[in-house]
This record gives sequence, structure tokens and C-alpha cells, in this order.
Amino acid sequence: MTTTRTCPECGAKVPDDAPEGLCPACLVQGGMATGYASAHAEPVEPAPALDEVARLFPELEVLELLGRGGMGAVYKARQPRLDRVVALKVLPASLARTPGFAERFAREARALARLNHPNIVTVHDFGSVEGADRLYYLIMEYVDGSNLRQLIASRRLTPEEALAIVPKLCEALQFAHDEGVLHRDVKPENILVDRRGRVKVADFGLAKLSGGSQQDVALTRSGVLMGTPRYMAPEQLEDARAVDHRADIYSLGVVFYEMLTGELPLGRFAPPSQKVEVDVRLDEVVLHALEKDPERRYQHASEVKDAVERLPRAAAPPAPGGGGRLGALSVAAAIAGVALPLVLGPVLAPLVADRVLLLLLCLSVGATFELAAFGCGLVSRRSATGRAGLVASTIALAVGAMVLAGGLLVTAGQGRRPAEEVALEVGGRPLAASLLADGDAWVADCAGPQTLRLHEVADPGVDGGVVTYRARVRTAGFEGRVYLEMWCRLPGSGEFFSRGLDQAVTGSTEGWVSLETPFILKPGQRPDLLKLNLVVEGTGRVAIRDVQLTATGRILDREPG
Amino acid sequence: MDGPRSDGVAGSSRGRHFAATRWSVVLEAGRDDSPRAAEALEQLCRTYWYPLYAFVRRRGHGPEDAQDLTQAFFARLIAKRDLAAVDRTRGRFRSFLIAAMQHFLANEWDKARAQKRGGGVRVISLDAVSAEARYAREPADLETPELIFERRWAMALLDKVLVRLRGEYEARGQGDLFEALKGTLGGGGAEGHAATAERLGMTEGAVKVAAHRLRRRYRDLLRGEIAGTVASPDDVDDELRHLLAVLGGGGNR
Repeated sequence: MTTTRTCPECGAKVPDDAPEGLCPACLVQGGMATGYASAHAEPVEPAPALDEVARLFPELEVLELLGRGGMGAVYKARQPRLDRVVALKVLPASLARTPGFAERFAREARALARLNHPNIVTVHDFGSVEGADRLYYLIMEYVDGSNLRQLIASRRLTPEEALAIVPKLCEALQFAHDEGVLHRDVKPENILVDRRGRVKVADFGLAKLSGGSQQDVALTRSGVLMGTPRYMAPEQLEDARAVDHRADIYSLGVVFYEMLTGELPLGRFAPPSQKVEVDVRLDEVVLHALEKDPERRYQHASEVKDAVERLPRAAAPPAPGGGGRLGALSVAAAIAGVALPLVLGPVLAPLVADRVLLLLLCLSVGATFELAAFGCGLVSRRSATGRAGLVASTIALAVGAMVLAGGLLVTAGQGRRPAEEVALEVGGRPLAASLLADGDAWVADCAGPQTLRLHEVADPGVDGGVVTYRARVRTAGFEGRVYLEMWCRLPGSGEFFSRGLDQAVTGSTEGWVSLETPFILKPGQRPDLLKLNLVVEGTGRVAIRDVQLTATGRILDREPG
Repeated sequence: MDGPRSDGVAGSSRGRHFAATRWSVVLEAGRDDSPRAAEALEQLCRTYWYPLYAFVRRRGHGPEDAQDLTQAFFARLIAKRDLAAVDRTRGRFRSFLIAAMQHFLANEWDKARAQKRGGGVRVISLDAVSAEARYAREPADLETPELIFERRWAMALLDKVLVRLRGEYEARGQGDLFEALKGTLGGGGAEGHAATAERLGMTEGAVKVAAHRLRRRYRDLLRGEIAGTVASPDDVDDELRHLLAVLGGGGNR
């Protein structure tokens, strides 16, 4: 198994088998060039080392370097007194040396701290510390997730998702504009999506501190100017200072276009409906936001939101399908090593008494899924166009919850407790050789990440319903996390898996913890093989007992012989 | 070993004729009979087969199946050069490859499998053992098949470039210099120019120049290799941005 270390330069993960042992992210950056080359390749200042930061911020527990960009380095840290995780952003020392910086910083930071909005990354605190240089910092809300760039790059966002994200962006922008704060640097890298699917805009106003947008001047290691100001409004390109809030609306338009089509609107670009399957009326909205003349653009972010929300439900076509389904919800999984549910709109999750699960899907390019009512429990693997996707993990929709997804209404169906759970026979000794018997339990000492195969159940004789894999798990001297994983093979379709990530055990447990992970089958689906695993992502001792497999669907009579 | 002028830097800023690189050769030839195009396509497949294998494995296919599948796919691709998917994928070989494979899995694989089992023509030699060994080392986290493909693609690309770069230095007897300065390409940890100078018996000034040259040559090779997989030189920067994103160059910053 490859282990990973973190790159001191950029904070990205460097796997064991990285080429020449170098950081892949830095290597890619080394290729970027817009044609300017600095005569003296002066390195950009490195991010302060973790222990240096810890020394400068004694009231924080500095955990790791999250990333490093033109606007400084961001660390993940913990505030012990408040028992919360935050993001600590330390601005480059060189920036701070510019005259008048202290006043500008205080002014900007105060304005940012006033932005208290669910879709804006909150600023908790700011200030400066005296290290080798005077370092200015911000303490911000920590967002556990990915940014829009990663989402766009790793698999195409469906139009429904784009249509759900944009109103949130509008709300964030409108709120800030009302407070007199411009963003000036709206781009996918600054739009974060957390594990629960919430959208948050980061780095409001910081562009002003460097005397211009970070897009136009960002020195890379090799001293080469990086990036082109592709998200900047035309008036911003001409004179970065003489812009108003409408520049943010232009940038929003660019991001919107990119979310829909995967491309940037450059030169003579085609309207979105000609590139992807969306309603023609959507073109109007996007193009209106992308007007070169600010006077002709939407004048307020709230106008964009209204326009998007007013679009008829069919702005993005629902995935085609037959009867028996209550609606279409296309859900995408983000990446960066983490599968994210993009549950769009307000999820009235707490309403549900039964299992509240979110569906995580892994989409291949452009595929959409049908999500049936909980009772039917379907995840269809193929869309009508024949492109297939894969279920990465299953956390079902709240029963009875309504999910607004980009204007599409989905009812998850009537709630009902599974009538009867029938136990399936699992088998005696677990398959993984490293598991040794210890009373009623099986124990393994894991020196590295591994997937422990526990049992394989062939022809369980189940038709439809929910198959649930349960076990009790315990860890000792353990670092990392552990969770249950079940693979389900459906003849003719392939193998799918369900991971109990929402219940993953982290670190050492005190005693036994009960875990379960379900797999929802459609009526007619009869798996011919179930594999039960324990996934260990870490090192230490793990123990498992009371492995159970139950099913609620129709139990088929076994054929004799 | 490499195709014609695959290190040709797209002279976009100078209006120079874009040297024909591998993927553009393939695209231009279309389905016409062209040994150059066939050769170019073969070379591309040879460089980037592992990401595809990993993709297929992560989709749930076992090792033997994945092997058969990948072989069959490449054989078919090279024989038929069905480039219908190219338009949709904006001319990037990377996107084309995964899209074509997804299409293959959805539509063609069953037919191909029905025809012959394991007796297909082996055009690209996939080292089965090393493929599976490499795959076994993939981190067991939630990487989707698509992400594994994208990440592995990026690594295959970087690998290729660095192997070539190292080769150039070693051929000149400058292997030590490469080893000492490679850290400047990314990931830091370099010992510092002064220490390198002393160790290799050079002046510090000379080391600085050497480092600069190394970075420049590296950048040229990297851009050249990427240019070999896209349809137009303007796409190189965009492709670099994409690679950066999939390698985790984003996040809360």
C-alpha cells in the first residue's frame, strides 16, 4: 500500500510512487507558463513550517498544511477552548511589507468578519503576529470538502447540480454586495463544497490586499507568471480598481458556463444549450451574466438567482425512465479521495424517523441516475444513453423528505420500517488470514492500510429489499479509520459496493462499536454474491465480532440440490 | 522511441508552425490508412495503458477480466481507429480514451468476449503481473474509477517526462547533477545550491544556471508531452490546470 507524505511546498499529498519522489502537483505547476519568464527565478516564499506556525499561535493546535497559493498558506488547526476545527490563513510576508498594508488589512478583515452567511466562509478572527517577519493572518471556518475546480475536473457536474449551486453563489454574492464587499476573484478554486453538499464561497475581498486580483499576478516557484485572468470581467482587465459589484456577476457567469459545459467561454463561444442538454432558456441567463458591458449585465446577483429559479423544472431534463419512480435526482460524488453527496437544496433530513441516508453516486461523464423512493430502493446503473455509473456508497434519502434540486422536486416516498429482517447465513471463519480468533472476536494487527475480507456469501437468495451488513468493531492503539464495506454482485450488471463511511470508526475505541452498512436493491435484483469486508485505513489493532447479514426483500426458495 | 518532434514546444506565442505531435497526427488521419497515425496511436496507448487498466479494475472487474478487456480495447482501437468520440471530448486524448473505454464497456465488451476468450491479438503488451501489482498498491480509499484514471494518467505523464529528462542528463554524464537538482522541480527538499556546488565541485553560480536550465528543459518536455495528447497548442495550459486539479492542487486555500 502506498503511504503518503505532504509536500512542504504546496501541501498536496505525495504518494510513495511519485515520479522521482517529487510532488506531482508541483511538477505540474512547473509546466505552466504563459510565455513570460522571469529573468531571476526567485522562488516564492515557502509556507512557514508547522512548528513555526504552532509557535506563533500558541492558542491553536496546528494540524496540517492544507494548501499554499498566491494569497498565502492555509493550515488546518484546532481551537481547543472552543473545541472546533478552523482554517488558519497566513498571508505572505512579502505582501505585508508593502506600505499601508496594515490599515488595508484591518479594513478588509473587518469587512469580511461582518459577512455572516451560510454560503460564505466565515471569518472568525484576524490579526498579526511577530515572527521572523510580521505575519498577517485570518482564522476562518474550516470547510471539509473539495472546491469546484476539483469537482469540475474530476467528473462533469450535471446541469441540475449547476442549477442548484448557482443560486447559493448568488445569495452569497448578494449578501456581500449589500454589505459593500466585493469579491473580485470569483473562480472555481474559491468555491468550496463540503461533505454535506453545502456551497461556500471563500476569499472574499482578499484580492484587494495584493493590489489586484490574484489571477493576474501569481508567481510560481520558477518565477513564472501563472494563470490567465479568465474569470475577470472585461472592465476589470482594463483597470482592476475601477470596478463595481457587477464584475463579480461576470465571474459568476464564467463559472456557471464552465459548470455546465466544462469549458471556458472564450472568444466566440457556443451557448450552453448547444454544448450540453439544457433548456434554451438557460442560455439567456448565462449570456446575460456574461455581457461585456456592465450596463447590459444583470445588475444584481439576486437577479441572476431569480432568473435561474424561475426556469421551468425542465431546464435540465430529468433522467429518462419508466414508471414507478417518483422523480429524478441526479446526485454527484465529488472526489479528492472523498465521495461527497451533492444533495441540493434543503434536505429536511431530521424529519425522518427511519434511517437517514444519503446517496453517494459516482458518475461517469454525463451519466445521470434515477433515484426511486426509498421503499423501492433502486439505484439504476445505466441512464438511457447507455453510459454507466457506479454506486460508490449508499446513504439513502430521508424518507419523506423533499429535496429541491435545481427546481426539480423529488419526493423520497413514504416511509416505512422494513417489515421483517431475515438473517442470512454468513459462515464461520473470516477469510482474511491475518484475522486470528480471540474468544468470540477476530483480531488483526494491521501494519498498514488494507481491506480485510471477512465473508463471501454466494446466492443469498434475496430479491429486492435492503440487505444490511452489521458488525461490532473495536480498535486499540489505532491511528486512522475503519469501516464496513459490502460488495454486491448483480448478474448482468456488475459489482457494486456500499461503504459505511458515515459510521467510520476513527482512532481507538473504548469498547465495542456497532456499525452497519445497507445495500438497497430494486425488486427483481437478485445478487449472486455478497462480499463482506472490513476496510482498515490506518495502523493498529482491529477486532470484529457479531457479523450479521440481514435482508428485507423477498427470500427465494432455494432450489433443491 | 518517441514520435516525431514530440518535444516540439508549441510555438503559440510566435506563430510558428505547430510541429505535428502524436495525437494531432492521429486526429488528422482520421480513419484513413496511415502508418504514421497507427504508430502514433500505438505509442500513446503504450504510455497510458495503466490508467485505463486501473479504471477497469476499479469498476469492479477482476484481474483476468481487466487484462482481457484492456487488451481487447486497445486492439480494437488501433485496428479501427474509431474516433467518433473525439468531438465530444474536445480533442483531448485523455478524455477520449476514458470515454471510448466507457463506451466499449457498455456496448462492445460483451460482443468481444463472446467471440474469443483470451485469444485476441496482443498489440500492446501489458505486463499482467506488474499491472496487478501496481493496482494492488492503489490506496484503498474512495477513489472513483474516473478519479483513479485521471490521477494515474497524470502520473504516467509526469513519469514519462522525468524518465526522459533523466535520460538526457545521464547520457551526458550529468546523472549526479540531475539527482542533486531534481528537487527544484517540485517538492523541495533540495540541499541548497551552495551545498550542491561544494559537493559537485562547481561554483554556486554555475549551479544556479544549471538549475535554471533543468527547469526550463523540464518545462519544455512536459509541455511537449502534453501537446502530444491534445489537439491544439492552446489546450496545453488548460490541460495543465486540469491535471493540477486532479492531483489535489485545490482545497481550502
